[in-house]
Amino acid sequence: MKSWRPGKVAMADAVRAGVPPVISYNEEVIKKFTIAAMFWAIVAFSLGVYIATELCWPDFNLGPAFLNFGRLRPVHTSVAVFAFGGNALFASSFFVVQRTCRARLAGPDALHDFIFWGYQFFIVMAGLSYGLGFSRGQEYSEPEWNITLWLVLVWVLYAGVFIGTLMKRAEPHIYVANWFFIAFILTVAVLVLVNNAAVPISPFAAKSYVIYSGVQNAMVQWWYGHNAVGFFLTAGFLGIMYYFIPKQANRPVYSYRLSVLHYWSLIFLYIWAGPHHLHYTSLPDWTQTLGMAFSIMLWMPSWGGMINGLMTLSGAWDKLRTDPALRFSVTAVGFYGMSTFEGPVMAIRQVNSLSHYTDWTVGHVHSGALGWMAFISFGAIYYMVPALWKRSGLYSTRLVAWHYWIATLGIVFYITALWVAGIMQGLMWRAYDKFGFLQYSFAESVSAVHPYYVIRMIGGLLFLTGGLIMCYNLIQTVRSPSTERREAGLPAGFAVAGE
Amino acid sequence: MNLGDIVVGVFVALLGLIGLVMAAGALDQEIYVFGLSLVVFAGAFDWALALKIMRQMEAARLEIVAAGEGGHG
Amino acid sequence: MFNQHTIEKNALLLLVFTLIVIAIGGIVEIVPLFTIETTVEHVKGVRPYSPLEMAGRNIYVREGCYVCHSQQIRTLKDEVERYGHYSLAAESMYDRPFQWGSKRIGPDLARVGGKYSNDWHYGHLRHPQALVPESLMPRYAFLAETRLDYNLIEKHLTTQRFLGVPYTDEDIANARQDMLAQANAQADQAGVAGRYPKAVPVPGQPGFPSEMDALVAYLQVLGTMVDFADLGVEKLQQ
Repeated sequence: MKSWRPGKVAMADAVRAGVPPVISYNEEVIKKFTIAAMFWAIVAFSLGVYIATELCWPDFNLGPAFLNFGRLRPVHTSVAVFAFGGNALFASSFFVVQRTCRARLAGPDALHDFIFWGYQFFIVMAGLSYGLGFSRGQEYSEPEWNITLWLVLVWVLYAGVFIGTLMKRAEPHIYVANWFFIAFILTVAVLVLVNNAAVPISPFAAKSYVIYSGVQNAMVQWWYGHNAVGFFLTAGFLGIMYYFIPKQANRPVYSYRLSVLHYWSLIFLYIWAGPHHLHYTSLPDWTQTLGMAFSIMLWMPSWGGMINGLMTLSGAWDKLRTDPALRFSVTAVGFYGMSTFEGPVMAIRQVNSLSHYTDWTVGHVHSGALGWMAFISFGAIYYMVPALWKRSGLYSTRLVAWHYWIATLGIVFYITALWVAGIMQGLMWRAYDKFGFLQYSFAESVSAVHPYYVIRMIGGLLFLTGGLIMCYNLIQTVRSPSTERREAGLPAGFAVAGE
Repeated sequence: MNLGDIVVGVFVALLGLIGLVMAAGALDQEIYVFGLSLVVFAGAFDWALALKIMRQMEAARLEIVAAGEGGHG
Repeated sequence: MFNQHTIEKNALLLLVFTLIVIAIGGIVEIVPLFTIETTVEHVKGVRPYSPLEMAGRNIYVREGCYVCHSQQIRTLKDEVERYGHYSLAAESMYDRPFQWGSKRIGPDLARVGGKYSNDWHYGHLRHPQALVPESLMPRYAFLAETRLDYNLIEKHLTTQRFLGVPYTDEDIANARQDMLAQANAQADQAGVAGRYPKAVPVPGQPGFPSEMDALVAYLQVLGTMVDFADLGVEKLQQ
């Protein structure tokens, strides 16, 4: 395993044999997932901006229950994580697994289509149900039992197709990106099944009661919640990193040994970190301490992965100047490094006593969600669209650069505003006056953060603007005559496999 | 015609049937909306699938015809 | 078999090892919480929710109140002084789902019960800014105009009993009646008070129990069940 460049071995073999390996990949379903990812990205960003506005000026809760912050925030988080992030992961995992296995997706095409439409159905049903007032009341896990069952069905089929494709691969080794996709698919299945275990009040009623209560429910929920971050938003997107950064930089992954270490230590340590969401609560101290200890240890594999991603560029750093799409991927890894440093710090009990319940947490989540998850997806999508639609390149790299700078500025606005707001809240809540009384009422801490909420909203607006520029650029890439491919003759699968 | 596609089509039709049962017995708005949506989903999915399969069969038939003509010519 | 070169050539091995590696942490942290007896303290006073409180709780969940309000007072000096005695695990032992929350856009509500009058809550839910000008809370006036749907109330209780909440046959048989009584402060409260001590009757319109009545009844019981006066520190050891 010296050559650690996806696709290179396959190409070399084919060239040696003198015949191009004609493998027809299922690209139609990847195209659909890519379009869906961009569509839901815009929905998620728009909802985010709207609910951020509600927090600036509560009159923007216009009256109807489904527009209230309490019902819309779960729609925003679900669409961002599961719809935008999920579709980006489906698209990229199907893109990667076919190319690195040199095999068409397992199963009939209709099954792949069902996975696509079934997943969109899940998203629409979940969003609709929150609006109608049906929610399990556990963060990032709000869909009621019927919608959860539907998700489980789609997920099992997805796992079957992914693993089936690995089984019929023509390459001897399973490429590192696929390890991370496997951890993502498997763990998310386990998490959802355990956390959503509930008994409905009737097979014909959506309301259900979760089988755990109180403290156990809290622990299971944050075991789920933190690993939704760890395996959905991290492991899955690391799969993207391990394929697309080497491809974009045209360099092999920096270190194979580091990849192995990164994979096993990350998935082992992540699962323990949940209790850091429950410091100083009624959760027993021993569990809190375990959660804190493992959260701090988690810093190491996270940074190992970051180094592996960034050092892949060694010798190709100049590409950052010419390829703004690569800039997205690399900046994403930078944000990954920052968030995975900030996270362990916030998991220390004493720091957490200040940061918990404040906007610092929200800012932290968004530096991960916008800086890491969204940016690495943007990088991958900018790479995939010309490849999938057989175009010579992107419509405009200048627009990609504009998108990059506007979105980065948006993130900076967002997270700095919430650092200030969060630390201010934490300090105001614990401030004492000279007579030994609490200095501030809660309401005073609410009005104090107003300006920062406005800055946060503007940051979100900038990020949304960048997303719209991206959509325009991608649509033009597919439609504009300027990106048409001139050379022809190679079979479709081959032309793309050699990208 | 691909047997796998047919199996998926039948499976989705069964899901649509479950949706119909759920909507019929629904005790609340959520299950009603979910059940009906499931019926619509299954109908639309199978409709599109049927169109696709028919197009494929038509294309295959034309190919056979074309090959036959080529052989005689 | 434990060699990476073997594992990465075999999809099933990779699958199985990944599953084992991710299972360990969760098992170690979660399973003992069900088996160690001191995880939930033994304190007097915690009871299942009355039918009206439970309906109110479900509205609290439905409206997503938990995204802005926590129900968990941490063991920190300033929190105890601001909100009251720190939360005990026992106090949420019947909470499905738990509503400890993760963000305070508004204050903690773990002990909001009894802090304000019923009238204050009705006024505040209708128009929060009228009472707290800085508030960011949406208006919930529509809850007062929405009739509480309690058609399935017995099913709610029996499902919870199935999961281990000690509702008696009597509780279930009287659920409807208890609910209507608690939502009408003029009605006879003896039954409700006997089955659900410290339940707070709310002044709803007779014959039209609203969703707001239920929500206020729930808010008024939060954190009031345990009598901390007769609790020693040793009893709170986890």
